[in-house]
Amino acid sequence: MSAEPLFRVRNLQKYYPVREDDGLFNLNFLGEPKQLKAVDDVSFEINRGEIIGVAGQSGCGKSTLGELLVLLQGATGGDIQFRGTSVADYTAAERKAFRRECQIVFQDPYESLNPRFTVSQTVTEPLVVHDIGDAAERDERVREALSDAGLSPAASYLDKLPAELSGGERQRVSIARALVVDPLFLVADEPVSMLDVSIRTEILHLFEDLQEKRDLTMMYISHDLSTINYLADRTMIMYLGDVVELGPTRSVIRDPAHPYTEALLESVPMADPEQGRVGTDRTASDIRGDVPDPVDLPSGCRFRTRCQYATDRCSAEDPTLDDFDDGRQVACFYPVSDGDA
Amino acid sequence: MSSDTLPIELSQTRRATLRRYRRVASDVFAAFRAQRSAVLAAGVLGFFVFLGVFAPLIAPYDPNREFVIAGQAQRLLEPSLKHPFGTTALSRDVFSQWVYGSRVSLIIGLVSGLAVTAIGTTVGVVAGYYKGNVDLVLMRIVDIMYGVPATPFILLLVLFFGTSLTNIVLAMVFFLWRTMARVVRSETLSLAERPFVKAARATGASDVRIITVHILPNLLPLIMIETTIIIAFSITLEAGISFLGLGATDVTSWGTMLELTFSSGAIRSAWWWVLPPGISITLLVLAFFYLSRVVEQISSPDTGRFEL
Amino acid sequence: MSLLELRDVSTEYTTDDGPLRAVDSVDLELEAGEILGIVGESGCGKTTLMKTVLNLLPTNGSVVGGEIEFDGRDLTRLSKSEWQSVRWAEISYIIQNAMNALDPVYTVGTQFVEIIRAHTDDSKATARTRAGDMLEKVGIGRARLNDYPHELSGGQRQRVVVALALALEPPLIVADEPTTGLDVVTQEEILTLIQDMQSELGSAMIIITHDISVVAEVADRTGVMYGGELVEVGDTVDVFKNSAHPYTMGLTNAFPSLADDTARLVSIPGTPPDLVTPPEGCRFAERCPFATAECAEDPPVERVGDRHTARCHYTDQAATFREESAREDTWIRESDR
Repeated sequence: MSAEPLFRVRNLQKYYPVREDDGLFNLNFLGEPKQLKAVDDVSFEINRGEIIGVAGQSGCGKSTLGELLVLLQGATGGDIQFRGTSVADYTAAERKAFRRECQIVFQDPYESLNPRFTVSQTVTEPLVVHDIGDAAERDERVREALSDAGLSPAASYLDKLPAELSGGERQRVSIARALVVDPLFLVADEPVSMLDVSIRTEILHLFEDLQEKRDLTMMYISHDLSTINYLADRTMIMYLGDVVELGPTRSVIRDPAHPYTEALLESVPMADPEQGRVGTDRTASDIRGDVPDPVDLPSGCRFRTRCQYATDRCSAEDPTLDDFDDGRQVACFYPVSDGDA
Repeated sequence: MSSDTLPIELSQTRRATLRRYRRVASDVFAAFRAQRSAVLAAGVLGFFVFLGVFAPLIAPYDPNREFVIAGQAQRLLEPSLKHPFGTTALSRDVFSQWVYGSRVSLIIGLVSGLAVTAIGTTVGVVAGYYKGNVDLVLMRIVDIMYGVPATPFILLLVLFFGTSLTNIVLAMVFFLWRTMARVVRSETLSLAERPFVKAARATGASDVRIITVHILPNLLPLIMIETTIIIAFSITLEAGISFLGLGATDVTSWGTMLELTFSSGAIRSAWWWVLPPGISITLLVLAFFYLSRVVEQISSPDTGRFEL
Repeated sequence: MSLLELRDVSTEYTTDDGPLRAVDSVDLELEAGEILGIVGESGCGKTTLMKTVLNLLPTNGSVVGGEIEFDGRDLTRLSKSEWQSVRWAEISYIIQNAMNALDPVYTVGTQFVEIIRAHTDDSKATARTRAGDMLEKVGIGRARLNDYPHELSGGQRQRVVVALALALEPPLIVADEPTTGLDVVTQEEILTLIQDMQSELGSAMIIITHDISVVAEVADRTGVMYGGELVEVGDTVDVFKNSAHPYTMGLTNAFPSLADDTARLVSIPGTPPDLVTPPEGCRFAERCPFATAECAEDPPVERVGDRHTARCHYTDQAATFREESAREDTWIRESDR
């Protein structure tokens, strides 16, 4: 494994200005202009060849993070370094080259494909955009990509329209489209959550194989910790724009350090009628209250309003992501684990 | 470069395209079968197109020719073999006017429709895709256009710049594009947020490519429906303008025919002169409206499929 | 006597390609107060089954065989007006994508009262009190009666819809994919809510879902559907732990578990059958690793345990099958190797 991380993200921010029509000055309690802090000062690294999982509830910023990393959205602060160079320094040509090396697969198989394009057109498009190969070469690469994505025999799929395919097949086409340019990095944003549970397995297997055979680095975004547990080497837990825990998946899942991680694990579904949900003795109802309004975040630690361990310190200071134990980082003053699991 | 927008030259692809055309054709037939009124509408439209295209061959006389027999102007004659639709107050043959009028109405409709589509779509797509300041400026212009009452201003424009058919069409297009722009912009906004467009951006496709290859084709159903409606509307609008006396002076349209029946006072008595243009305008506009419903049905996704 | 009994129920849709038998000869029983989960992939017929029971089939669908006995009446023979009195007061349902099921231009209270009054003789005042009580019960609070749907969060809207289904305290509630599309924490909340409400009211419940974890967590009994047929049904613990049908075994082994992350997940190869021309004999045979020539004949419904049946020729070998089906390579077809 190469020492240089593929991505180095430092203090990444994505803030959206909020305009409300209540006639006031759109200022929050402290007199600052109101903003939605979708991604708030996030720092981490992604190593070559690993699958990093990003988990959290809806609205935690994980999808935004994925889009920021593939430059689908522009960051409002912070820095992303890809292979040692900051993306902010890219020329137009370098940017385009970046887009070839980093791809993304979205959640909705029904909306991810142009309804008027055949499978062949969809998967060929990246090759056209980057002017790769001639007609024959492109044909070859498209067939290979379709086959790698599990659509076999590739030839029978080429002329199909999305409407003729099942959800699982469409998702594979999206994956083939991402693979056809031989990318280094793939963001998968909830790729299986809209698929039948029985089909998810195949897609998960596919990602595993891709990591192995193509040395593909991946960011796998999901709210379902059981699929992240299966797939990811390291895992990042996000809450309202912040990373609250980050570390080897095994440690994070087996021995959660942050109270939110603990709570999240409580809600993971289990296909075992004799066990309730996995986790500690706490039940999900121990998370008190609703998720706070992301525009009006609580002072200090943003999880404190729902955390049963919160103290005064938690409303006064906002914990930063600090080293916890071997390879792990937690943003909490009172981690619920002893570490070194 | 042609390979920029076409896929790989597989004979399979060509065959598939043919299959798709056949499927579209059968969809079209099915839609027509489902709505009998649309078949009628298509028939009506076909009829008027035929009239318009072959006007010189069908009309027995020059529409402007004044008939004088033995010093006697042949005014307001009832229908006869010589003049199947009778004559006007200016001794002209109504039938010939009517036939040529069909040509005029269709030209007005189609030219306005296409021009409005071209301008409105361009503005709408640019505003909806680029958003930000571009959108702000363009939509301000559209809003201003909306603030102006169309008919009075078209009348003013025509008054100032002259009553030729070209001017009337230009004046109408000047106002009608605003609706198309708004409709297209709103649809573009939602299309641009759909994952497949985001995917294309992530792949590195240029804006131009995304707009031409991804957005415009998916706007097509909406545009087709809107255009059909705009065509119907411009025909009506022109008739209205003409009826108010500001119609084209260089050609005879159905609208100017009606205006003359009114201003000459013959409107209540010369039914042979009033009915043809009156009924024709109504039929043509209705035909377009019914066709727009068929277009909508063809372009909408298949509904009513059961779920398992 | 059971609250709900389906006997040999079959439902067909007329399509351009011929009749499509979406539900084929289903036998089901539901006792009062029981939660039954119906699980299966897209296209297995579970939604059609639900629509059949609720009399919500589209115009091209019809019940072509069997009876549905509910509380002494045959639901397939009820008239429209009779259904009016049955619906909501006796059988209600929680709609899929519940969050978007509320009309945005009316307040929650108005919609609630309307539904109550449509099915009972309550006065406006009584209905409103009832509505308020229900909202209190689901944890939202009476004050929300005056709010519009957009003023509530997604989770709260979900609860409103659950409250609506429970408003008239019907003996049977049908929930159609109540947790699909929700993230895990909200899922947990809604399932807990449904469970609590159900046990408080004592209603029976049918939950339709493709997610076996929902069924595992909440249902007393489970029915597995495949290709329009009910291939296995029994107490949930039995169906999961002593699965007798290979498809069930495949399903349970395809689920990633937090407890055991070393297991390689199983995936069932192939696709569900075409229901316009269903295959002869067992419909799962094409994808089943244990199929033999005998499977070309319709498998009988065998009793495998107390209130536990499965549609398979080889239920006597279920224990062996269970072991083998836990291994990933059992499911890899010869043709795919």
